[in-house]
Amino acid sequence: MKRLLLAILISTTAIFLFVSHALSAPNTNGITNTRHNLLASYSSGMAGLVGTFAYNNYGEVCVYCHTPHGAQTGSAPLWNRTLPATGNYTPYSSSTIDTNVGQPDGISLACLSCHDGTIAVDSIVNAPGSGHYTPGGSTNPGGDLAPPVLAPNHYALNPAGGSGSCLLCHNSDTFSGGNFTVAAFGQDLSRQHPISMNYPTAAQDPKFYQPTNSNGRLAWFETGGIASRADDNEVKLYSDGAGGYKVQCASCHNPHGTLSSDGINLYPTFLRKSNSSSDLCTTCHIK
Amino acid sequence: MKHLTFIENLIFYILLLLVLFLILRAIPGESGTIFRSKHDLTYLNERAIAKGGVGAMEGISYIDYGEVCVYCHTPHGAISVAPLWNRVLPSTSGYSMYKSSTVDTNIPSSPDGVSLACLSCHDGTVAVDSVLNPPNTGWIDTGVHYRMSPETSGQSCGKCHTPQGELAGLYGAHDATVKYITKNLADDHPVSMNYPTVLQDPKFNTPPGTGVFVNGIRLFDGKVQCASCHDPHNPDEQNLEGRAPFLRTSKNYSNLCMTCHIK
Repeated sequence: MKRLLLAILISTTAIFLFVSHALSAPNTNGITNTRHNLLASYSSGMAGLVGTFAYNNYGEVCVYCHTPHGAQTGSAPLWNRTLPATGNYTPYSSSTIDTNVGQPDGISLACLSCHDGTIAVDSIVNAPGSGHYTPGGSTNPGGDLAPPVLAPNHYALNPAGGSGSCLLCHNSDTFSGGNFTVAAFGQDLSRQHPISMNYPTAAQDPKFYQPTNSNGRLAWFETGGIASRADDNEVKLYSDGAGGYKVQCASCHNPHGTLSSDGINLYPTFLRKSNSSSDLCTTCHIK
Repeated sequence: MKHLTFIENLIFYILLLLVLFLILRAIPGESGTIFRSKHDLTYLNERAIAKGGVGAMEGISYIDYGEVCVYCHTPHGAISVAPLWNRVLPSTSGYSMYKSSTVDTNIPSSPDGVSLACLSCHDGTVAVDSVLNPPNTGWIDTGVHYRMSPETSGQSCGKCHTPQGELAGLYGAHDATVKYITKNLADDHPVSMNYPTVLQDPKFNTPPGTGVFVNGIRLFDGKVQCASCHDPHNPDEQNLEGRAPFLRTSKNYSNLCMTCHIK
C-alpha cells in the first residue's frame, strides 16, 4: 500500500512537472515561442485547448492579429481583430502630468482589443481560407466555421475572471501557464502607465529626454542598429497626425518580442529593451 | 502461382482501392490546375449548379468565350504587364495605397507590373470579359459585362455576391466581398514596392539572387506584387495543402508570412 501511494505521488509529481514545463512559453527567438502565439504551438498542453475549449483554432500564428486582405485601417498594420469602441475608458490621471491624457487611440486600440478584456481573443475579420470574412470582426467570421476550427467558447482577457475569461485558470503565480492578471486591464486605465498622450516638449517638462530622430511618422530614441529607422529595440513615439508624437503601448512593448543581445532570448514581457537598472524608464524620464 | 489466402486477398484489394482513391484525388480540378477552378470563367455556372445553385455567370453576366485562357492571355497582340496579357488594364489613378508608420520602402502612388494585371479583375473597374483579343469564333456578345465590384446594383458581381447586394445570396451566391479588392488598397498587404534590403530593415529574410524563395514565394524585379504570394493558375480548392486561396505555399502556422517576415 505504501509503495502504491509512493508510486502515485511520484507519477503525479512527474506529470505535474511535465505539464508545467509544457504549458509555458519559452520566450525565445520570435513571436512563435511567446504567449502571443495563440496557437500555443510551443506547448502540447495549451495547444490542446485551442479550438476545443478556449478559443478558435485558426491554424496560423499571425491571423489572430493580422490579415493580408480586408484589414481594418488606422490602428496597427493590416489589423484583423475587432477594435474596441473608444470613449468608454477611464484614462490615467495625475496631479503632475504635463500633457493631456484622453481616450486611447491609434496603435494602442489594437493592443486593448485583447488587453481590455471586452473582446474575445479569436474575434477577427478574416479567417484563413476562402470567405470566412465579417467586416468589423466576429468569433465566427463569415458565419461558416465549424469544428475543429470553431471552438465552443471564445475567451477574453477579462479581469473579472470566471468562465469566459482567460483568468479562469491564469489567475495566480502558482499556475504553470502563467498569471495573466496584470495583463488584463479592463477599461479602467487609471492604474496603467498613460498612453495616447502627446510626449511633452522640453518647454512642457524639462524632465523628459527628447527623442533623437524622427521621420514624420515616428520619433524615437536612436541607440544603434540602423540610424534611419526605429529598430525593434528602440523606444518610439507615434505621429499624432498634426506634427506631434504620442506615447502608445507599442512605445515600450513590441508585441512580437524583441531579441536581446544574446541572440536567443527575448526581453521579458515583450519589452523593447531591458529594464534592468530601470533603463527602459529612463529612456524617457529624467529622474 | 501460389494462391493467396483470404487475408492476403483482402489486403491486396484494400491497397488497390487506396491507390485508386489517391489517383482519383489527384485529378486536376481539386488542387493544381486552373481548369474548373474559380479562375476558369467558362466553368462558373457548372460550379454553382454542383452546389445546388443557379448558373448565372458565363453567357449571362459576361461573355462565354468558350476558352479558359483567353480571359487573361492571348498569343498575339498582347501587352507585357504579365505574360501575353490580354485584359484591358485599369487606370492607374484613383488608388489609395497602403500606409503605415513602420514600412521601410517607398510604396508607389499606384500599383504596377503584374499586380495591375490582377487588379484588372479584382479592383472591380474593368469587366471580367474585357479582353484585347477575343477568340475569332465561338461566342456572342450579349451586351452584359459584369465587374468584380462590391456595388450593390448594376453590372456588378456584388449584386449577388455581397450581403448588401440587391440580390444578395441569390440561389446561394457566396459572399465574395473580400475578393473585391476595389481601388482602396489601404486595407490590403502592400504591393509594387521594393523588397527591403537588410540595411533598410533587418527583420526581412534575404531572398535568393533569383528572387524566388525555396517554397515558391517570389519577387518580380525585386518588388513585392500580388503574384509574390498568389499563383493565379494553381488553386488548392479543397485546402488539402493549406494553399487556399491560390497561394504559392502553405499558410499553415503562418509559414507563408514568415517566408519574408522575421517575427
